[in-house]
Amino acid sequence: MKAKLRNITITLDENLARWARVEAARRDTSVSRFLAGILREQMGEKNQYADTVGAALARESFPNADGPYLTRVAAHERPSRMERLVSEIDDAVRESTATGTVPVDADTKRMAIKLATLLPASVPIPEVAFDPDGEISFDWLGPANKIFSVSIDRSGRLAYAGRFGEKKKNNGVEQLSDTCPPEIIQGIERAAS
Amino acid sequence: MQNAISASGEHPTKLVRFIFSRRQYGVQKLRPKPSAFLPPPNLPTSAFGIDGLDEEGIWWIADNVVAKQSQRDPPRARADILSAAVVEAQLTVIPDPTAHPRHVNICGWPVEKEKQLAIAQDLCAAAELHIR
Repeated sequence: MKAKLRNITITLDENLARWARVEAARRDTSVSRFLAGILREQMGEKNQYADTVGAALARESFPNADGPYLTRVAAHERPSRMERLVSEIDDAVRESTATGTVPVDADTKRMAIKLATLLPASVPIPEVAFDPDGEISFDWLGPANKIFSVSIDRSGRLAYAGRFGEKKKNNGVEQLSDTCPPEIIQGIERAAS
Repeated sequence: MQNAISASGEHPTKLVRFIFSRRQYGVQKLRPKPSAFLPPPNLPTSAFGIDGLDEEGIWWIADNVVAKQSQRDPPRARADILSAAVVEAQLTVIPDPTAHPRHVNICGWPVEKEKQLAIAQDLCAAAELHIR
């Protein structure tokens, strides 16, 4: 049976609307379908979370434990993808101050968060590290030694390199703007495939 | 243990790069990340020759030389790599026994960050990660 469709009007700021149009065009789909896909993915994550919590609550507590196995569900709410990534960036900045050769500064952190914001939800979450020169790097470690790395500096300069096989490599530079450069998205997808 | 460390002054065939941060290696894939090899600005990448050393000897350097000289906690992991792989990546291994007889510098890094990343990825692919 065909699902019943409903029209909803949403209001976006200009930057977000432009990003949505570009991302939709890149995927060869409409803005409406693109946004519906994001919402569907969010709904799936919520349902999966509810199932996981339900299963955990149904389990018996460990021997000698006081009370039920899980009592404060709110304290264990799974952080969103973006929250996790920002937290990783925060930790990397803190760690760089303690152990890095050049600490990551506030501008570089801001640019790293902006890049994280612009990554499409369809690509895997990167592993976050700090470089000895004070830049933040995102790495996507794929199967068979494939890897894609992006280092971002305080001006939003994105230096990237990909290694997708012994002879399949690339590298280059892009400037961060209001959209994630296609070269970056393609590199992530190649490393993850 | 100290006696096991010899000053050869020659190019070692096997090197170790000590890793201080868990962010510089992937736990799931058990691979070092490029940031583990990238050089500090205008400096070489520091490493040690490990020819003839056993596990204990390698970690002895980590704890008693690297951690002490850098005044940091002991390294959490290490990446072992052949000198040949470093040379294949268009870098050079230069013995630098001033700090320690086994200390070497990995030199010849290009200035461009994207090229440094590409080379560091090659080193990661050739290296073997050991986590404590």
